[in-house]
Amino acid sequence: MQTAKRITNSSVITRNIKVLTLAVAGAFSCSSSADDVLAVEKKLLLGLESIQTLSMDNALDSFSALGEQHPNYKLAQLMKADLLALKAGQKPLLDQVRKNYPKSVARLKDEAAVRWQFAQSSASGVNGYFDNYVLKTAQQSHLIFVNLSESRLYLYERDSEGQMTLVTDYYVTMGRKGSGKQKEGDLRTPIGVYHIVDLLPGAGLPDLYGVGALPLNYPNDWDSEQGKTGSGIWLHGTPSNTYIRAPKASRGCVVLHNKAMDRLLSEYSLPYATPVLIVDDAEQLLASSTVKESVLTEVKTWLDNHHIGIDWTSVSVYRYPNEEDLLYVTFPAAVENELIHQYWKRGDNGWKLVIQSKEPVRVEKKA
Amino acid sequence: MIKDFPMPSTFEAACIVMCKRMDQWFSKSIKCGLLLSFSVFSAPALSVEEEAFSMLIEQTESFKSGWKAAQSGQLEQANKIWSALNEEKIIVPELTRALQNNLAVLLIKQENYLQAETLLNSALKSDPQIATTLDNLNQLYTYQAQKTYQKVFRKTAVKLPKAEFLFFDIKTATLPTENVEITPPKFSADAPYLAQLETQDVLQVKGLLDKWRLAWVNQDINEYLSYYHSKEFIPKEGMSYSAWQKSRHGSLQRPKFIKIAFDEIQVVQLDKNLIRARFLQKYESDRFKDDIFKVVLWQLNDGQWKIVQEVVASANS
Repeated sequence: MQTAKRITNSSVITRNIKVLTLAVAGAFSCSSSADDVLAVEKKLLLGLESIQTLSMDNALDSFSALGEQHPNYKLAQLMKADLLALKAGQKPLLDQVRKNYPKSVARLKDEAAVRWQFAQSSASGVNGYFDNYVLKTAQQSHLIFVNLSESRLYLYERDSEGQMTLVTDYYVTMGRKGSGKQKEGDLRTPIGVYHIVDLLPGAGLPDLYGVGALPLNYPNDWDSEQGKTGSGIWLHGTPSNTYIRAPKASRGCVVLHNKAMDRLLSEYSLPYATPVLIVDDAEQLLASSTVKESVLTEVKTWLDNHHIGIDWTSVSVYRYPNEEDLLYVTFPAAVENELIHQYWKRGDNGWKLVIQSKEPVRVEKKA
Repeated sequence: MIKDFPMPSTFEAACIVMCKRMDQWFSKSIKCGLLLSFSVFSAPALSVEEEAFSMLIEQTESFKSGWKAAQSGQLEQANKIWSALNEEKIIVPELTRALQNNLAVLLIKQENYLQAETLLNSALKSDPQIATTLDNLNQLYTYQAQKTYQKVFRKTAVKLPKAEFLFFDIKTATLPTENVEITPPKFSADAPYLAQLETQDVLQVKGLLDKWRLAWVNQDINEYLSYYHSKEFIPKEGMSYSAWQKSRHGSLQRPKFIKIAFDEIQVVQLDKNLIRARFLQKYESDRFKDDIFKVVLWQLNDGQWKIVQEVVASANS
């Protein structure tokens, strides 16, 4: 969601971070029921599945239970109402609602479709495409991967063996006009690699943002170089009177269910500068591991020559989404708590640095 | 986006499934073979006279041959038999419903869903009791649907279910077929008139019962008919009073002789104006002979007891 409030992009955040962090920690209770979000989704899918197998009474039971549990969940209510109307032999009632509210029904339909498709592809193990983009991670504790083609946010966490492991994934809403933000007010969600640059508890925000927000550094240096404009791209929650928003409903932000947002904010204590990759991909890239290895070798050689004594384990390398042969590389600056970020492009003679961040990304761990 | 996802994968597809293939919903049970069976023993007794009873037995046999054909997969044959039977005059509503249901099943198997729907609908509506109950239930579903739509779209109009009462009258009721004991009403202070009138009314009806029998035995059609209430009497299923009257002319006058004896007579006053007589009727003529239990309801009108219903309770075997 774009906001009037201007959020500083990749510049150093100057406010008192420690005070803010404490405020955030106090504002969110540790959520034990976060997976309620996934349980509700599961029940919804169960209902849709029952319709597929023509077990109409089972479907009605699923949607009725959901509607009772979450009266604000409009998709569940619509499905329940439709089934009752059909059971009553009142198809005209169903048609009338579609005629009166075509857009609202279409939005709910989109949500059902997106969730259904995601469930299908995740059941067959083809989803996310994290490996397309993340070539190497440094020691950061978390990484957020958003695939807009699936309306899905994936949270990765470093496990005890140092591997980035998927811990959970949630349905998300993107901009009304889809992905690929170019300019201010185009109602699109940007595609790129960003960092969390702030933590805003819901108490200080309008109801629209729900339980809180994580602002991103859009536009980053690459975006600015491409002439992209706009600001205020956040990850945030849902208004109190809404269960969930349609797949395409925001002004560019990535919107989560409040309980999912709450989990990101309080349970995982996502640190500043946590990478947020936003992609819009529905296909696996066919990059071989040897290609990946040779790319990393080139980057390592260059860094060894130009930043004497750099710790390779603190370097992250990402393939930049929706760009041909563009890499995004981050590593710690000489100054504490700052992250240098670079853009690398492949030329005739291998990979070349094309943009070096003018302003580093600020890294601050939670107190 | 994942395109060309296998249908029916989306909400829209789900709706298509729901809306366009409702008939499948109906037919689902049928695929499990839910043909309705029918046998004369499951049918309650109606105003079935001896000839009608033999007709019913014939129709039951014909139904069964259709059933056999259907069970062995000869659907065309089944269709032929049941369609022909459906054209006949059917006096037992259970048989009518079984036929309509089964003809619809055959249509569904031929994927003729539209006609099947019409037939199933008319089968349900042909029984006013079921139709009313179904309608009341559907009104509730409709109300719930509207209330739920309102949660999504606030302006949705919600009409309260109207619901319709069902009237019950013993005269139109299908009475128990087996030898059901009817306990005489207990007379209490609440119903002193019963205590006063019981003996007199019951005695009177017992007398009328015998006079009615004699008129029948004497083949005196006018005397015989005078025991029936010309407006309230409900003849056999679907038959008008005049048609019934005509058929009685034949029944009483065609035989060369008629012998009738009543046995095990029980006469019970149901209320101030209604008396139930149950007895074993032993009938014999040169054309026909049977022993059946019969129930005859007598109603008091303008001081006169008249027959308003005559029912075969069971064939005595």
